[in-house]
Amino acid sequence: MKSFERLQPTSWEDAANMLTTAKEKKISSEAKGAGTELLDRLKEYNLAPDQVVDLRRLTTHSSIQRKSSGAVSIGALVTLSAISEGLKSEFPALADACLGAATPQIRNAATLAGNLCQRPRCWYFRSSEFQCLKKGGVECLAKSGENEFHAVFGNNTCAIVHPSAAGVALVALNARIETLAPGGGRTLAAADFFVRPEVDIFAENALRPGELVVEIHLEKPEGLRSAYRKIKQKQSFDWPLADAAVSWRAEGGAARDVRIVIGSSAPVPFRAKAAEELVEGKRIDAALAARAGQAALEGATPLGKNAYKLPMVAAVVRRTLLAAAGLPDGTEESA
Amino acid sequence: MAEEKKENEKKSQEKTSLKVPEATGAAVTIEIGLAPPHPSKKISVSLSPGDPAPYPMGPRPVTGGRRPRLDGPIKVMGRAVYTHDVRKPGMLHARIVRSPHAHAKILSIDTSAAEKIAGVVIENPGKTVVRYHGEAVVALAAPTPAAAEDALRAVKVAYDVLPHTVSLAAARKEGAPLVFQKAVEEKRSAGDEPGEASKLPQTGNVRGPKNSGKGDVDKGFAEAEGTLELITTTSVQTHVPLETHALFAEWVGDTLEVQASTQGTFSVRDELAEVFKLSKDKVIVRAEFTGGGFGAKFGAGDYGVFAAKLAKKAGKPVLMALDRKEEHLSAGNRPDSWNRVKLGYKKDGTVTAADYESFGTAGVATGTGTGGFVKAAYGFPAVKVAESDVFTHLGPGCAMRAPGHPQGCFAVETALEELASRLGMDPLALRLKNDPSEVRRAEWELGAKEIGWSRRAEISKANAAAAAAGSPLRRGLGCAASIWYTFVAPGSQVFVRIHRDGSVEVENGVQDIGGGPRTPIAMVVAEELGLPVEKINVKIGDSRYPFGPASGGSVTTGSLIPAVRAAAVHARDKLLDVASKLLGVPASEIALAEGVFSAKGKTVEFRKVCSRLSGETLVATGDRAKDYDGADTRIFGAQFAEVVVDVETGVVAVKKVVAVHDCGQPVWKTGVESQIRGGILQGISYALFEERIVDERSGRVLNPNVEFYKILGSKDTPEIVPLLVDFYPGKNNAHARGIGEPATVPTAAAVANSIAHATGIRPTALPITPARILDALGKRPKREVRA
Amino acid sequence: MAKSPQPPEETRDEPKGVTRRGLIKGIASVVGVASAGATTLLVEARHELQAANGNGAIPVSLTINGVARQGSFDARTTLAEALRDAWGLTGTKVGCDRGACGACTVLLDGTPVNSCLTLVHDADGRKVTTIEGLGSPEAMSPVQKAFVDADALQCGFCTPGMVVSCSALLAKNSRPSAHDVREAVSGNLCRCGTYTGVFAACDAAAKAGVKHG
Repeated sequence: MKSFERLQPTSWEDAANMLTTAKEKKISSEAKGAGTELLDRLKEYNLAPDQVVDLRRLTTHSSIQRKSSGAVSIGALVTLSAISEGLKSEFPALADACLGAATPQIRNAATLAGNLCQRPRCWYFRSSEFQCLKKGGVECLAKSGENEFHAVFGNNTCAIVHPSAAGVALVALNARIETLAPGGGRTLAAADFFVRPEVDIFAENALRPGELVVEIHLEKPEGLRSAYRKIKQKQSFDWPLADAAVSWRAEGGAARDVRIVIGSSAPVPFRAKAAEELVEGKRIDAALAARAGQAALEGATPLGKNAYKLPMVAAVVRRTLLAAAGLPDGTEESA
Repeated sequence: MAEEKKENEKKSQEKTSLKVPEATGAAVTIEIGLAPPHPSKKISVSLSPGDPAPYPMGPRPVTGGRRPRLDGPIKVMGRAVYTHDVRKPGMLHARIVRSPHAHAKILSIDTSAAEKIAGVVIENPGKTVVRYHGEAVVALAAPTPAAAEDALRAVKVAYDVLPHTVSLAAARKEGAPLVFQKAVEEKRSAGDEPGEASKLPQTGNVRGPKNSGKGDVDKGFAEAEGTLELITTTSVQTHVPLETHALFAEWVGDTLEVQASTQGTFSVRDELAEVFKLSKDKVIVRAEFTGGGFGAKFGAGDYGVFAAKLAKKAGKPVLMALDRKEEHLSAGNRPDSWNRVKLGYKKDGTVTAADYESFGTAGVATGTGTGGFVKAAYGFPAVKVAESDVFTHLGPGCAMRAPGHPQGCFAVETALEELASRLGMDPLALRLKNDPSEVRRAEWELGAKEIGWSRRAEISKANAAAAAAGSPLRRGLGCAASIWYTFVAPGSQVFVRIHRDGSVEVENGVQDIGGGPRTPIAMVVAEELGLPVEKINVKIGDSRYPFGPASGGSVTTGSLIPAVRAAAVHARDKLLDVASKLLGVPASEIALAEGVFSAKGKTVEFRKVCSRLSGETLVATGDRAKDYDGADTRIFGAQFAEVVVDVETGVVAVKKVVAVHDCGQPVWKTGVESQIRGGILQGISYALFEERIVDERSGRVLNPNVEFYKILGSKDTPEIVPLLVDFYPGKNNAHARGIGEPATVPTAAAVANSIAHATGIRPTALPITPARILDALGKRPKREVRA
Repeated sequence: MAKSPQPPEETRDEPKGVTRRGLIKGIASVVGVASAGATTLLVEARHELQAANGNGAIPVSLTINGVARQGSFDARTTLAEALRDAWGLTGTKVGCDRGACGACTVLLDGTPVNSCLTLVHDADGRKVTTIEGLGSPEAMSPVQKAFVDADALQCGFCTPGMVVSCSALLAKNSRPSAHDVREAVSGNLCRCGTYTGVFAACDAAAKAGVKHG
């Protein structure tokens, strides 16, 4: 890793100013939470900033706040461990997504905002030996190269999969992401936070230079059901081959406001609209869940080596729907 | 338990009540074979002068037992000093500039900016061409790791990129870019099976075939009632020792002092002595703790030679420790393979002939043959083998735990499974039909019972019921055979030193790569001297001690233990002479147990006897005598696996593995069982996860890490039942043989065959990824690929 | 090839016992050496030094295994590097340097983290427990003893990280299920294949009523 100057802001505003000032002075700078993901890229020389602005020591936006409505606000600096342990009963989709997002050691350090803002794990992007489209190159090297772990949806420009498991859950839960920037912050729907490569090839989210995620807000409507499931080759930590989060309101036995979001399959957490429409307003059972799984494949454009992911997407959607409905999916092993 | 122990001790007293007359060398009759109730065999062997007669059948008081490893405490406290951990005042940290290209001409190397960093020294061997991604170009060292890294980034190398070939299939084609213009001479390492380097034809990138075999293959196929042919492939597996390759070098006067993360203290010494034109006494290599090796850590390596050169140039100690990426790219791997196996068979399942062909790529190295298994594992009467190496622009392969055998086992055991299925035979019955080994037959029987092989039909029924009920889970049982061989490192030698205060030291230069040789060495000596195991101070991992084997080919135990026992017996004999004088009783009538010499009601303590030694120290030498003639050198094993396959996602969970092995007379059962568990877990990882992925266009390895190069973890670990047959092979005085390799040979094949039982598919490619399972199940969607 | 400038005596003994004063003094005098040798090189040398030794060493103070420690480090220094190179605590291993193998696991305020993905300055003011802090040669911790008894180790390189992970689990959960144990060490890779021993050791230590490693 190249040497850098460590900047220690005293407030979030201070941090945003440091980043903005650096930008104005054409000094490369990066914000750092726990640094678990940033350090990986620094060590790979994937980037070599002159300044690193440390957010980890800031005392605000570092806890989970509960409101009487059941809504919660999660500070940007809350660790994945704290979320997986603290929100298990209220927001199982998010808790389980955070539980599966990394090894125990990394979950203990990594922050929610860091998980949302992490860069892709695509091997062409991560290695400093390749110049891919995202790094100013002329083409996406994965599309015609080794793409077994790449996108099966929305991969026309760049075939990364968005690596954030928490992001999949937050889009399913229709979370709002609050930011702070020198010119004033804003609140974005989670689905709008993530941007497709066609919108910005150099970033995976809508943050502007100097803009920081500070808080994540979740509503808890009456009868909220949610779940997150993933399919991995290895059961010890492994990046999912497919994952999904779903949420709906149970209203008289029917599912309302259904959101089905697929992860590890597209450059952004990917809403399976056709599956959502199929399920909307119906009572979820095994047959409907299986049909929803198939419907979730609509619009898929698999690459040379990743068509195997499609049955996984169908399976994970089916299983996640059944999990949220509290129904068995057939994988319960008898002793 | 306690009763048994006492009984054993009594027996031992009876045994040690004789001074060892065999130590003079004699022809003796020994009993070999499986312990009762199996019938044994008596053979006459001639002992080498000075070598004691082998252990008779029956339990022994110390050896053969379980106990914690002696170096456990220092390791669990984090106080074992590995090569990575060496820190010396003034020490420099070394790094290597490596090629980002698969094949390139080096146009220029500019180290001037790096040299301006304080304290940097540079070693530029002036290479003009690089042949793989990650090949070393320039080495340097600097006072801090950070400075070394900055220097590394400051070196500017200009390349002219040349065409490359990085896949087995592409490299075999006519017109493929050539990796070598000239014929390549094979280099052997301590990790290879013993034998001469082979001289073979070379056409394009293909070197070979190397032909071998046994019996009359034409006759075998003529007698066959049917033939079966299939092709299997396996991927490149990298060793991934947790401690990467590392070497610390310091010049002290004209002597090169080294600590190495190695499997071969002496092979490192010899290589450095050769490179630096030093006599063997001027190179000191220490290797007390090595953080894993698995076949990749024999010689000094280019990185080690760089370290020593940099240390000389700087006049300071230098530590070179590869990072994980360098380890994957340059430090060795198990070559991939393409194997064609054709069997001729009778309708009763008897194989009459096998025709076997393999191609594999070890990148820029040789040694990819996988034909050993088909020749040795079963009783096939006629076998023809043709093995070829294919060069590619990739990092060198090298020995890895049972070279060639997991690949060959997968090929042959897949063919046997297919044959059983074709003939409608039980897969185990088919194997028994072709297995004349008494030891292995005993193993099949034990293992089948433990895994519950008789449940197989019932499991098939349950799978059908699960499918009908809409459950995606399918269960399966499978098995496969293991074969390995007893190799011996000749010249292994052990010193036992007994001091006047009664303390005992055992010295041998052998390294500990995880097998834990300190413990069995101490057990053997403790048993012969009637002392507690903890009282034996075992000193290893230093080239100044007597020669010990490199830990490869599962030779460590088999090479070392007989020499340890000889040394301990000789030491005991000398003590008996002293005790004889003190007790006034002939040595042959004296017993030794629990630190006391006794005869005719008179006793004298071990310490007292030691205090009367004529010199300050009694030194006894034990040499590794050559193996007795006549006995089988093959080591047999059998493994069974139980899996659950999720046919909706292709994800496999291994639930249980039963491993039945022959380890002769194990000295330290705890260690043997740990080795078996380790071999199995590497085998499962090889079966399901491990695959080096290369970008064809650039020739670069895409997953030189442990994130996308996937190795098995805690949640992928099944229940493991290691079982040993009680076997007396009769090759050496301790019936000792190794276990490291036999345990990993059959696991992948057993897992593959259990997946076949669970799903009805026939896995023919490793790793058996979810993608491959879904493909075989016909679940990959038909929709066309859009690029 | 230009002759490499030699570091002055003050920096030679690094990385043992790096002090802020020593390092800064070292930097100053190295620049002096370069400028005395060739003035034209000064600017470049200064730049390279900054790259080599950082944008200046930043002090850090933390508690390691109950002992207050101070040091001064370049901002890019990881906790693993500081522990191993500056404080000689080499029981913490670096296996992959990317947080994937867990050999570098230490407790930060009682919680297991990858010290290779933690900058030393992020541990400022906090309590770090390494493998050396869990037991002494005279008295192994109950978890360490259980590891030895169950032969939960082979080469031993992953073992410190495994022991730290298991100790943290038992400190938090005195009766872990089999699933809990597997989960707790799921970020610790062992290539020798000692997992079943680790599970057994963790169970044994739990049964022996370990409250804290």
